[in-house]
Amino acid sequence: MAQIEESNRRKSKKNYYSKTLRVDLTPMVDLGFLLITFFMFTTVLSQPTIAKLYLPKDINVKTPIKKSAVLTLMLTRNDSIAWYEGNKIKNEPLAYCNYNNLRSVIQQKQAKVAKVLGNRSETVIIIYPGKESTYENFINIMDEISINDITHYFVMNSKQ
Amino acid sequence: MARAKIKRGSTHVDMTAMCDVAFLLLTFFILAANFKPTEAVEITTPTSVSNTHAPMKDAFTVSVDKDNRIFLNMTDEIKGDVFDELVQEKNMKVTPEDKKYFMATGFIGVPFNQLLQFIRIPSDQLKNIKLPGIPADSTNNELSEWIRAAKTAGMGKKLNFLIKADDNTKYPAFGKVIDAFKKNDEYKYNLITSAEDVPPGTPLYEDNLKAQHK
Repeated sequence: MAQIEESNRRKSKKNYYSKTLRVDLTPMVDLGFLLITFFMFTTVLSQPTIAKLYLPKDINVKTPIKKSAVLTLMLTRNDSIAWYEGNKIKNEPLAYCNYNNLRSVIQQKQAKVAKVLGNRSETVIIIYPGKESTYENFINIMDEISINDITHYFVMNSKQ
Repeated sequence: MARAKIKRGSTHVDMTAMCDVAFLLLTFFILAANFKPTEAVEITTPTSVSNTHAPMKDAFTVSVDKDNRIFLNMTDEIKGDVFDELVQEKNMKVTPEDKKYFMATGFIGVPFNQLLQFIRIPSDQLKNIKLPGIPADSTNNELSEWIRAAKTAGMGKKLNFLIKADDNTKYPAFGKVIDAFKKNDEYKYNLITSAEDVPPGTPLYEDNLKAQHK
């Protein structure tokens, strides 16, 4: 009995296949989703952002600033920064920091300015990009300026 | 005794619908993707906390690579006008064919005297050639002339001046680009960077949070 049934079923199946053609779409779906994943990642990653930079005209106007509010950063080679507060005193050794602890230097300065002048936003930062400093260094500094909400800063020409 | 019959259903799932969805999404992403224009050279931009997206229209981009060479590219809307303006200003003899080649080049990376040869080089061969870049010294500032041509050609439009420099570009090279812009009374720049998260707890982070809640 079983044999007969089997043969009957096979026969019917054969007929079925000859009538409608059924294609296995699984690999095609796989491929589709693979490509979707690829395009999703590439579209998101290729969106560049911009940092706005507005510079003033080069004019010889002296801007009065309070010495106690000034923090001068000199970008030097090998991703290090030399800094001093207020006026540079002759023969006084410069303090050095790198881009990881720059934020604490700026924040300490802001705290000091808040104590002396009453308002944190009085802080002035003067930037001297050295000949050996890189563009990445400069962008990092501009980032720190926007991160710490510094409203007064000067970028000096590196003609030292 | 007969065994209880278990009806064996087929496990075959109809994939047609799923396939349709997959390809519909695929088409969407292909169309939504904006492909990168031909890059002069590979430039790794630094990261910044800025979250503004780069403008894509009327863009005049100055690129500086890690060897401090300067390249230029423009979007198609302004390219033709800039070329006409420059030809007029420099009294160059050009044919309509020259302009066609110029429109097809992705970027400019040579001084004026080599420009017409340069635009005829097929883009797939450009990678093998060591390009000199556009001069921007104080004695021979061609970059400044390009900017002037772009400003004259783009009169009435709001041009977006973008600067794209590499991580390892030395600051003086970037300063030269800024100087060339300043010569043309242009003081607003967009520096192309890649996005970076704002460190939590800082003033900017809190400002962004406030802006989100509004």
